[in-house]
Amino acid sequence: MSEAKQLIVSHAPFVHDGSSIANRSGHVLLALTPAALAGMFRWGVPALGVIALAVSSAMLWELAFNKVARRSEGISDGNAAAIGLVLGLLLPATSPWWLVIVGTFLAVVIGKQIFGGIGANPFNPVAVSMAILAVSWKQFLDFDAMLLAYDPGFTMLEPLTAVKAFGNEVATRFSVFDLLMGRQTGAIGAPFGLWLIVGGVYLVMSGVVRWEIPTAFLVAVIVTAAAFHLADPLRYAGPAFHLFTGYTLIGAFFLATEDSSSPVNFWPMLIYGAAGGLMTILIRNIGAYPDGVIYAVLVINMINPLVDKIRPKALGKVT
Amino acid sequence: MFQRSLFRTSRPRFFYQTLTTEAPVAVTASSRRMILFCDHPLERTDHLCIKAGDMVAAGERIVPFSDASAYVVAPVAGRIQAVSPFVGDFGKNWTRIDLAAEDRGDVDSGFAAAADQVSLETVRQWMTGLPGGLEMAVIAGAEAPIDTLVVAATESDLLSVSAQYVLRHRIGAVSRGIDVLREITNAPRVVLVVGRDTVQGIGHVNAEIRAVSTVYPAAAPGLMLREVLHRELPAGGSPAAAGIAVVPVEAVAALGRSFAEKRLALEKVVTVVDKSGRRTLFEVPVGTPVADLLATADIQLENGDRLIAGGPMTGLCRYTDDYPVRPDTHCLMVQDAAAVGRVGSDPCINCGECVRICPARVPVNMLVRFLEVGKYETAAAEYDLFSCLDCGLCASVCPARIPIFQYIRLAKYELALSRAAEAENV
Repeated sequence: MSEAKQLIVSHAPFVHDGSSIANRSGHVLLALTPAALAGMFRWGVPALGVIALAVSSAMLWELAFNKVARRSEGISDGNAAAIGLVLGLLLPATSPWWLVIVGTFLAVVIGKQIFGGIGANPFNPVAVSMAILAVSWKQFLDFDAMLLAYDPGFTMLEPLTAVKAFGNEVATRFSVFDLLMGRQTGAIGAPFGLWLIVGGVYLVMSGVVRWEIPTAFLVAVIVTAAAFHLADPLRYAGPAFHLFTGYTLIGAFFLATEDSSSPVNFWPMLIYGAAGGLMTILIRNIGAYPDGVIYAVLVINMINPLVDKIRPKALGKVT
Repeated sequence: MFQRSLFRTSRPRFFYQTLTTEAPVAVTASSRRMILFCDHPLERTDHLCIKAGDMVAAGERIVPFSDASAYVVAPVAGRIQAVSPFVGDFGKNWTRIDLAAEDRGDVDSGFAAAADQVSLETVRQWMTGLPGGLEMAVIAGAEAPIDTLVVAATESDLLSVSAQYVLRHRIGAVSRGIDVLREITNAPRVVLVVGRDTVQGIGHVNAEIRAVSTVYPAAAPGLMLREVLHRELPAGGSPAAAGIAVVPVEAVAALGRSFAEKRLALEKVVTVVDKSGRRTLFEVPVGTPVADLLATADIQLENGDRLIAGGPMTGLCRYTDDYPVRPDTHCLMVQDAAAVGRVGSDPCINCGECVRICPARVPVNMLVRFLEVGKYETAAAEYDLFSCLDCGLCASVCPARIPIFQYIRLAKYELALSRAAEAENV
């Protein structure tokens, strides 16, 4: 026998493409950075405060729950930080501190950890949290009331609420370019359409997000909104308005695409995304709420396991 | 080579390596020991007909047991040093025979006499250990009559170039081997399958020539047969059961050479890849200890390294270099301890990378959830476990670093065990 070297024995494959969960979360954080920065410049230090508190408290909730549940620590995978950042960008800049902390608790603990942690959540954690917040403390998510102190030099009417109340005539007071550039009242990061598109395209290009879901989502928003607009142009705003207002873009790129609660096969992704866009406009136009993205995302999360059963026949299964 | 780029607009693809102009280094003379495995368990010693100290001639057929027909052929003349039980891959029980080479030059004439008659019986009696790996049941058409004989000049894994070397430098032997196989199997159709980049220079072979893609794992039997024969095997079914005998090109070359020279050709072409990825080709007798081969290749093993027989995607780790070159050791690679991170403990995050890269369209994201908890029957029945080609791509792109491929192999192994047990109960 030759000199006994201690060799490592492990299973194939012996190559890996280097991807990791932390890497994916990092891409999400990076993709949201332009919108977050734009939000901080627009809304100032309060926005910075909300974002910082959201990210840090989400991570601390993750850490705390892992300790309590004696689960292996998951804070280093960056998922909690990504959840915190998305949630922060959906809140108004003047949110009270406790709202942010309750929000991250709802997202990280109720939305994710009690289902078994990363990969096990049936719903998007951020959407779960926002839905509970909107039902419980809806005065704090009323952007018109929350942002009274601001006078940035453009119409300080929350576009979707205004259209809901006064019909399409209000919508004509917002130029599409202004909406795209984020010159509208809204959450910290959600109004900055251009930066969200940049971030979303970056995520698609880097392979973190599947292009099928956001594309189908946005196409369905455009088609459904156009159908409503054509049916009753006085009451319903057009597709461009719906595309760049509310949570549409952040929802299409960052909420609907959350890994665990979205499908992975081609046709299911298209159906899932299209259902999201359709539900968004249905809720906005004939539902009770001005913005329907959060509830639309929760609804499509619910149909995800079912639609993802539509898949190609595996090799050798053709009979 | 395996790192993904930051921006990725198409699926990652791995390519089989292409043989450049490399000359193999023969180390036939340097190895003083041989390790032979006989495919029969050594459970009792009273049926053993060989013992340490026995002399064997080169090319002698050693039948270790009086009550079993299993045999090995000594590649060199020498003296048996030890006979011991050995547990091989996947719990197979073998008998290990250590042979010390001696320069006496006595050559056994048994095969030379048998080779006058080209028949399945001759092949069966002498050639189980032929380099490349010749499965007797396959060429005997045991499961179904052979209608197509496929000579696979494709690589078994990334990094290996052994089959291409055989095809390029042994084309005469391959041609002769195809004639022999045609005679033995009476196959009406013979197809030589080569990688799309190695088609040139093989026109005079007496077989249809078909090219397959060089994108890994196009050479996996399921995909290869679909591409060249347009026949999709049923999930979990072997090619042999469908009447297709797939024989590696190296075995065909060795077969042809053995009958032509009336001497068993036991030299195996091995692609050796060192830690830096440098590739060298060697031609050594089957049974040469890996330690000797690595010494010739000037590769030092350190603590914590991996010694992989096979290749980077599907190979098997060896825990020691005191292990021989086997008929199917097409590639041998040494990997530095730091080269691959450990498997992760994270659960599946349902990102779908595995589903998108799977060449067999297996729903790996669902499959792995059942395999993790040992629900193998459900995995096989509902989530296409047996459609899997064992290519390992899913595990190589998993961001959670789940050992998916290991789960799959374990599940297939466990199911095979339980099905064998059930078959006995009936």
